[in-house]
Amino acid sequence: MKTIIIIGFIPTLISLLTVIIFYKKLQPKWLQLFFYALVFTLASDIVSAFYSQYFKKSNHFIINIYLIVNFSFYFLIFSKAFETKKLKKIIYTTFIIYLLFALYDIIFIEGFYYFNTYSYCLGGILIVICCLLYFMWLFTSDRLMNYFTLPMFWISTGLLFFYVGSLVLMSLMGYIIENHLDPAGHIYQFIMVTLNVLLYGSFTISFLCNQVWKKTR
Amino acid sequence: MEKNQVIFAVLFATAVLVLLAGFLLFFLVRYRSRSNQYIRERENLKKEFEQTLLQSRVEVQENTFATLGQELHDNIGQLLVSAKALIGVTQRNLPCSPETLNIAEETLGKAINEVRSLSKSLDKEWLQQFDFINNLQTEVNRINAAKTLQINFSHPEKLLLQPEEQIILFRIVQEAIQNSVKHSHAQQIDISASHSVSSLIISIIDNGKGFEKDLMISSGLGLKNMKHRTQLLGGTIEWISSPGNGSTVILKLPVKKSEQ
Repeated sequence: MKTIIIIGFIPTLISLLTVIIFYKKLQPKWLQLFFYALVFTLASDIVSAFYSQYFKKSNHFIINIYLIVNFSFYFLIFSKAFETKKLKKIIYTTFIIYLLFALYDIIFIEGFYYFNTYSYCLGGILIVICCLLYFMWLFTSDRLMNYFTLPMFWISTGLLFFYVGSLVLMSLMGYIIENHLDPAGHIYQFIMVTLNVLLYGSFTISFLCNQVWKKTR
Repeated sequence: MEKNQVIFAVLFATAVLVLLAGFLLFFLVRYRSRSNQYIRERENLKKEFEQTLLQSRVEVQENTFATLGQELHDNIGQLLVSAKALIGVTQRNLPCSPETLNIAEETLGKAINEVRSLSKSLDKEWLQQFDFINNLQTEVNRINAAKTLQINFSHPEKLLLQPEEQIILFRIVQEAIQNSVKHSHAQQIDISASHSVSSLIISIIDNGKGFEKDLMISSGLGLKNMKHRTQLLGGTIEWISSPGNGSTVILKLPVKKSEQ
């Protein structure tokens, strides 16, 4: 179990190291925000893992805080990536919907100390919609473009795989916990570590794509 | 059993959804590569069309200049010669030719020379006999003779360009000189032509009043023509100017290896 947890940190660490090394050369400049997001992610993972291991208590409240900040960050990235005002407005609207629901979920539905599956699912669905909007924009653009040199293509790919893959597990998380279907958390760890590799691997490629693909062209 | 079924269902659904997302991306990338090919072909066709259009415009302009040159020589030139001849006859018949008549005869002589010179510079066949350097030197001498400003022209022995390219280059430089003469109130124009490793660089520098570069390039028809002709030669043109600081035109043209 501990091995899986440690393995789960590796993609995040690699991604963080990459953004540190290429920090000044990152284009567009808003990619530099990933440095802060990845530091926050790593800190949240370490704190929640330690809390669970050494205090033997539920760390769900840490995860709930992390998720609100994390989803807000992704909405911010999409608002930076979209060029048209109409699409930016859609992103701002989805962000407000998510934030209001997440707060409502914490206060009135699932509570602060229980993993908020409803707000996770809503956030995940909204992120998937943002990814699909971005791909639709790419699909319909009449500009000559190589997807593999676009950082946002890789970021959207990673987010799409992660949230599409985790939605089934997370939507059933309450049921799984109540019925002790995965008491040791192995299934959860297996799925999340695999999806983490896809997500943070895509982030790493997005930080590199301007450097690597410029040289190969 | 039920527990295992639920776990299996979760894993299976997750795998199916991830695979679906993968297929979606695969088709997206594949469609884009075909779309990119189409966009490239469209861009190439557009460039070819613009090149052909530009070439046609230049040819039409050249033919117009040639016709104009012919008309100047045949019609206006002949009228001026006739008028000078009549004044000459009048001068010989008068016991004492008035000063104004002498000045008129002299002015007509100058006008006839100007018309002949202008007619020659517009005549394409004449241009093809001589190269850029000779043609431009003739133009410079004509303008210097008027003594309104001084043009200095430095050049290599020979320009490494085809005759057709030299004609187009001559028109660009002629336009630049005319702009300086008409608009800049310059006292001096320095024209320099030189070869570097793989290009020909021509600069036209005047000490006139300069102009607002961005405004003129966007609205000036003459400057647009210069830019189009330079593009036809595969080169670049740059204007450096600001009000009160004179102006510089720099032309850079590629020179093919076979011509070197």
